[in-house]
Amino acid sequence: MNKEERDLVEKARGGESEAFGALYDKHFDSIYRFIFLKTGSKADAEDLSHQVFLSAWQKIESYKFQGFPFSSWLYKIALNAVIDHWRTRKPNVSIELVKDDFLSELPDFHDKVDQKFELKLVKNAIAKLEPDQQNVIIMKFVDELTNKEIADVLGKSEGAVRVIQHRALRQLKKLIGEEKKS
Amino acid sequence: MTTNEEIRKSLNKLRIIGSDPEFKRNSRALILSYQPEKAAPFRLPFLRFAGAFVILILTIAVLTFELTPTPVLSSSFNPDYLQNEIETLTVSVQIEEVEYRKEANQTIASALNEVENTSVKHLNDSRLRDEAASINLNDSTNPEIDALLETVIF
Repeated sequence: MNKEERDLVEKARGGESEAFGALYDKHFDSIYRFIFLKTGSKADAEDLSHQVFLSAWQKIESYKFQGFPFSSWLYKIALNAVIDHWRTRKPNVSIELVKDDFLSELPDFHDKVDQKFELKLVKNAIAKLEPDQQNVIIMKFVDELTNKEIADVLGKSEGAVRVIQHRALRQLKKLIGEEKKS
Repeated sequence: MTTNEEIRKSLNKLRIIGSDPEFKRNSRALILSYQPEKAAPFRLPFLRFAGAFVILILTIAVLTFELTPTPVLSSSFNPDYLQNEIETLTVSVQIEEVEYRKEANQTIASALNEVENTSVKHLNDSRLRDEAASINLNDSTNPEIDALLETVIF
């Protein structure tokens, strides 16, 4: 955590709402994206990301700096929110709806249909990965967290994260190939 | 054949995914309108620990009191001990009384023998009379004494 972020966190812990607002602006998109890629639903991503930041703001005084970025704490809350979401609700979003939601999230590439199609393939392949592999792939290659940060979020060792990453890429390659064929 | 590098590039492109700006704005305003929860003056885990420690100390104190009775107190309230004490006391009283009576009887018997023995001239008749007066003639504890007294008196 850099000094600037640390100052914001301390101010937020002191009750300064605008300091937390700055943290919100900095981290909301990555948390939203993470949840969206996990759930495949825009409505669920909005609902859950709102809950994550509301929970973080309400419990900001309990946050303790432990050598990791503030985002690590937010990812942990997000991960638990998604797990609770799957526990309490059946995933009733059909593949078609997932595809439509996903495509609507992308900027309007008028002349880059192929790119949209490619991203759709990748998204569908990610949805078929095991949860830990999904988490590592999204945090590592989409949100660009370090292995150390990912290990902290998932409660695993860095070595374990590297192994999961290797297996996830291999599986993703296989799934994308199958998607292309179909 | 898709390479790892191609996959990584595709994954990186997913960063363009974002939320609706209006939703983000409204969500932010709503969240910041709430007040964060204030921490308790004393940390709950500490309170829990302190409370558990106090209960443990009290439990140990109670168990120590119950399982390690003091001799004075227990002996005072132990009914069996009290019963033994009383019985011992009664026996002691009885034995002492018997000893006393035995001694007294011997003394009286000696005195009466002296009185009966007319061959010996008693020098203090008034004393003998006083002694005779102090004897309870109705006490039938010792029949031998009764017989002697009858001899003396009658």
